[in-house]
Amino acid sequence: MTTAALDRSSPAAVAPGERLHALDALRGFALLCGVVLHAAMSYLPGFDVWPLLDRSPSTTLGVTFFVIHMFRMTTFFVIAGFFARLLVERRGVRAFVRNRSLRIVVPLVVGWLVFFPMIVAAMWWGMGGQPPRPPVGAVPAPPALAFPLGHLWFLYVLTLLYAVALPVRALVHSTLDASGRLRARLDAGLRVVISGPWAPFVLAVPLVLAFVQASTWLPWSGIPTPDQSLIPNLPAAVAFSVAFLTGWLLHRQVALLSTIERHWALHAASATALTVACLSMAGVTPSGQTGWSGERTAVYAVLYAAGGWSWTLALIGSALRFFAAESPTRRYVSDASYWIYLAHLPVVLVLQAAMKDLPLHWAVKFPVQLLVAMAFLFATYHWLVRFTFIGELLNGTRHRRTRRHQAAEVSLPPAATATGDAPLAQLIDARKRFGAVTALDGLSLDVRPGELLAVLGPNGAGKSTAISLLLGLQQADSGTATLFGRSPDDIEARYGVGVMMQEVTLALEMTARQLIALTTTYYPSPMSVDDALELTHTTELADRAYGKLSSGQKRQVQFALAVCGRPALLFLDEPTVGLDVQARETLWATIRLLLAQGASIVLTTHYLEEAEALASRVAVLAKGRLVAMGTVDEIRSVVSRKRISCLSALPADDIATWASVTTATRAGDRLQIVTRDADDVVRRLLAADASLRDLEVQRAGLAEAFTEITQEAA
Amino acid sequence: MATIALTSPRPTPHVRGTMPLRRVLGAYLVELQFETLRHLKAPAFALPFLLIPIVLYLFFTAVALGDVAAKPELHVDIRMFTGFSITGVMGPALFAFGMAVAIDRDFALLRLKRALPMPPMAYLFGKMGMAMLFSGLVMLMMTIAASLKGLDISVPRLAAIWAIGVVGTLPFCAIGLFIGSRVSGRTAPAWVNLAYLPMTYLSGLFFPMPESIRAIVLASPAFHLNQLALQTAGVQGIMPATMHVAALAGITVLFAGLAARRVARMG
Repeated sequence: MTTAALDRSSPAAVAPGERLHALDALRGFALLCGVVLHAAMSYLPGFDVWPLLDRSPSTTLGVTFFVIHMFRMTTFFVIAGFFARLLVERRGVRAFVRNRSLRIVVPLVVGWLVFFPMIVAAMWWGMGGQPPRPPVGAVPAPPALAFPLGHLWFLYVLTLLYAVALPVRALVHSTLDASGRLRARLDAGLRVVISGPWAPFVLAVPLVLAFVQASTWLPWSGIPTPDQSLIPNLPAAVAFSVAFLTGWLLHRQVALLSTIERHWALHAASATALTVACLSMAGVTPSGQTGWSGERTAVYAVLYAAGGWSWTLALIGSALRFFAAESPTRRYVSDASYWIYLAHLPVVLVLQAAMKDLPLHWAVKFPVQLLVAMAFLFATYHWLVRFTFIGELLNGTRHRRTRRHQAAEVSLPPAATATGDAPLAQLIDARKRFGAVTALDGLSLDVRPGELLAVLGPNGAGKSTAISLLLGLQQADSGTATLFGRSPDDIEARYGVGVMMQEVTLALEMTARQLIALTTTYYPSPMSVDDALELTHTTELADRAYGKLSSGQKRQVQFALAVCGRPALLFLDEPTVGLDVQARETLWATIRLLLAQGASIVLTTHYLEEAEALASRVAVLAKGRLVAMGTVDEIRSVVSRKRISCLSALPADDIATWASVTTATRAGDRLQIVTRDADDVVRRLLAADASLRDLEVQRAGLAEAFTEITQEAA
Repeated sequence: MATIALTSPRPTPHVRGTMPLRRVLGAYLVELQFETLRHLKAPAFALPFLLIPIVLYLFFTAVALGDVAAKPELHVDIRMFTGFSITGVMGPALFAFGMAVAIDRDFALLRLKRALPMPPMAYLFGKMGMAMLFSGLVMLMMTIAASLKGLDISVPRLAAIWAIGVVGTLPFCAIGLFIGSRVSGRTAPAWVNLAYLPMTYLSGLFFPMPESIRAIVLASPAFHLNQLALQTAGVQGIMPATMHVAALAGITVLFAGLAARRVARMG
């Protein structure tokens, strides 16, 4: 009972890991967007806040800036809140404080001391040694506790949020909500909000109020950047606290991430629509306009704040949807993004200063700047940060320079043990319904290394659905499917898989050679096209259009596609349908060759002799359940019954009462007896009737075993 | 035959880790090559899309324009050029996606490709690249024809219009993909034409819409793309170019998103 419960909870325990990869990648993306944002600022028409204005302004970059600014920091703070709770729950308060001090506070202080002077120097150089122009118009009074935080303000705000979150958390746990009822209500509330299509609008409410309250709000510039003072301005404080809190609460119910994932397209559509609406109100060029009517301001505030949240939810959703799997490239980029964001501003400013008066179009200058800056920043990351104490400080781990070499050595043994006897593919308690039809009803199945597993069952038994789950074509309603210990959605798991399906029509215009050539490009170390043709005896079909082949020849080409990637695991769905006897024998021979070389094969078939000829194990499915599993002999012996038939006058009813007899019937002169102990029954029959003749004893074949097993299941 | 290694040297694919980036890019390129070949081998697809726009363009500019061409303020010559170019761009994208995806779904080809370790976007990339290649070709032929007819647009502007046409293929790819992901191969031609024909006539490409229904053009990507091309050619626009770009991007994201959702669920 306990183990079953544990097993069922394990997929949920695996899934968050994948979600973390997605959120980590998105955080990196948000940070890198910041580099684009600052690089674009030089080109905004009439945007005199930025000291280095280029001579080739661009509305396109203006809009780019507008959009990135709309979501970037909200997204960042949602993820920050999520990871903050994860860290504090996992490691405790003390470790949290230590970790955040090293990873956030130290980079804030040291980064400011190092980079701020560089920023000032770059600006000074760019303006030809002139002091900054005084702002036009009324000079706003300097804010209280004025301090130029520069682009590191986000670390400062994050520190403040941590400083608030920890005591609040302690207070909630100890006194405010010791019973947890309040938190449960909060969770339920968030669940309702996130599940609905209006989530962005609800989440936007606090920010809308803050916008409307603010005395001098520049609508085009959205959330005012809190980089001038140690006291963040009201809209920024509200926006980022709400984002952080949302992230924190999301971590309380990780399942909500699936809802966000499902709605990604909806949010993306609403983000686009709201952005267009905002731009049509505020204009596509930056403006310092403030004198809007109250109503206009309120409408715009709603559109803008909801737009920002729509973007945030759309990005989180699509990150979960499309970037959940671990990828070394994404991992590297997201590791690098923190350093790149810390260090980018001086680099970008120097490039802007150097190029702003060049008589070139922005469409040339901007990409060049971005490319040069990114190349330089990635290079500094790789050579100065990744493998040094700086990398350790920023990302928590110092990578070893010889990592690639070591990884190969280190990861081999566990992988080898993992595949030693561990199944290559596995279904655990998988359930799947299509409307009212239950296709799989708690099916567990595994494919072991080097075996041919034949999956038998009548039509509608769930064979195809089971294979679909293992190949990631469909998702189980509950239970898990794994391929090489990973999710079948994971492309790296499918690198080891070859597939031959029923009822597939390949591109009719193309030749077998072209079809195989295309398929080999999907695999890391495929065989050559000629080898695949030779192996599957299709060389003479190679240059004919697929559409012109007979149905048996088409199956042979499909078999070539299945094996050309040299897969460790082959799925063959009714491979010999439509083949003549000779072609079938050749295909069987190739299958035996593959098995001899260590491949594993899952074979679904209607031909029982095919299973008898090839299978190491047989799985019999009926009504979505596994009704028998074992070697061909074992399956046969599950039905140990034998059929006795003879001509005799003995009354069937009497025989039916004998100990080992299951049924006894009479058809004319002939007695039909089904029994578990044929030897004993034959002895008694001969003793009781000396005139008995024409005795036959039959052992059940796989066909009968199969029929009987599935009939019993029905 | 015994020399062929049937399974990988290490039959534990998860140890091999990732594919080298070069091979992944290679897979995308082969897919593109494959798609292009596939459609070139079907002349019934390739020829009409390559030839019809240019034939109509030459016909109308030579014969049918009459005295409206004499009014330079209407920019009829430029409008003809961009109008037929945009029609030429729409065709391959809508049909290649709308029909081919529907047929691939009917034939379970998409299902097989999803089961294989095909790079996730390779299928779409191949079709998209193919559609863009066709658009590029159509636009190129249109540009040559226009220059021969003495259309007065500078070379950089022509180049920019060409690029707009090629990139502007994307929203139509997305619409085609959406149709292809919903309907069967048998009914796809009807549905695609149902999108294609109204878009050709009701987008103000060749004649202005009556005042009463003028607003409907805003829903048409062909209208937005044509406006971008016209503005690039130097014709005064009605709306800022950014709005057109935003509309096109919005349409692309919307339809591609809906289609991706459908394909992910149903295969």
